[in-house]
Amino acid sequence: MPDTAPKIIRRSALDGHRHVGDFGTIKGGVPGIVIQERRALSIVHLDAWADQVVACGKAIEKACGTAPAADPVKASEKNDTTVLWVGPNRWLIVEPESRDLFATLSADVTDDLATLTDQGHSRVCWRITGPNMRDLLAKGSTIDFDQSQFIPGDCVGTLLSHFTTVLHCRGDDTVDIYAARSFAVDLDHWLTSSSLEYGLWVLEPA
Amino acid sequence: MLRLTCPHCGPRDQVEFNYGGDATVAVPDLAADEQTWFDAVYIRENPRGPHTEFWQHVAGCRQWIRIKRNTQTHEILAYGAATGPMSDDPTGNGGTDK
Repeated sequence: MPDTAPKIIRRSALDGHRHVGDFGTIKGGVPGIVIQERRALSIVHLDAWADQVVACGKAIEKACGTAPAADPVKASEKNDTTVLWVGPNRWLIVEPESRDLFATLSADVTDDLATLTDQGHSRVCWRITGPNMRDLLAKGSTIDFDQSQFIPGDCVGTLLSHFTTVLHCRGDDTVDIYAARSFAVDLDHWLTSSSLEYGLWVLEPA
Repeated sequence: MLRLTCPHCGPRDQVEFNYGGDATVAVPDLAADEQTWFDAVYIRENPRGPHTEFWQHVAGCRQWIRIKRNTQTHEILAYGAATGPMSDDPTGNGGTDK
């Protein structure tokens, strides 16, 4: 009998659509925008029961080394783990794929604390850096991206070019954008075409 | 364009929200008669002035919230989670127009 068991292969939604290189008007050899897809991320959505939020935070800290940020619209980070706030009592836990994050979390975040959903194959993540990062985001969203308003550690769920996204500000000129994979090609096209006027480097996926 | 305040995410533009209807309608008891249910489901006032409405922050935290809005001027008077106190009524009685 041939082996007919399905083999699940991790494949980015941007496979075959990525055009690596220099594009647009790059002035003085320095691009205004650098885009790099972050690949092979383990992502788990965690929805805590309303009366178990504190216990759930401790369980997340035990499993990942960092508890969720105390405030809404904020992310916490430690080592390679990022905990993104996506709503009251709800977080996305993100790591580069190196262990079975879902199983690790399940051991500490039990059913009586929260529900867990593996989202690792459902999201695409872009890391945008460069001095024009905020100008680029402002083209597609109504959030105030001034440096005084959108600060490192902020984690904002919003519309970007009409797509539902999560924007994680990682530095003055660095943001991670998470979107559903079914929108990935369209949003990638918007990101690249909107960056041309600033000069764009598209790097190999990390 | 309205600028609504999500009690969880802060001020956001209207495009991030879906309108969810009159937040002052009380859901009848399951055993209530047909006319009571008909009125609760279909009959709405068309108020001029302050009005408390449900909105859902679909593009943000996905939560249902309440907004008290002046339907004549579009001024946003108060906001709150779907249940509990509004920002202008910390006692939790549901807003000044109730």
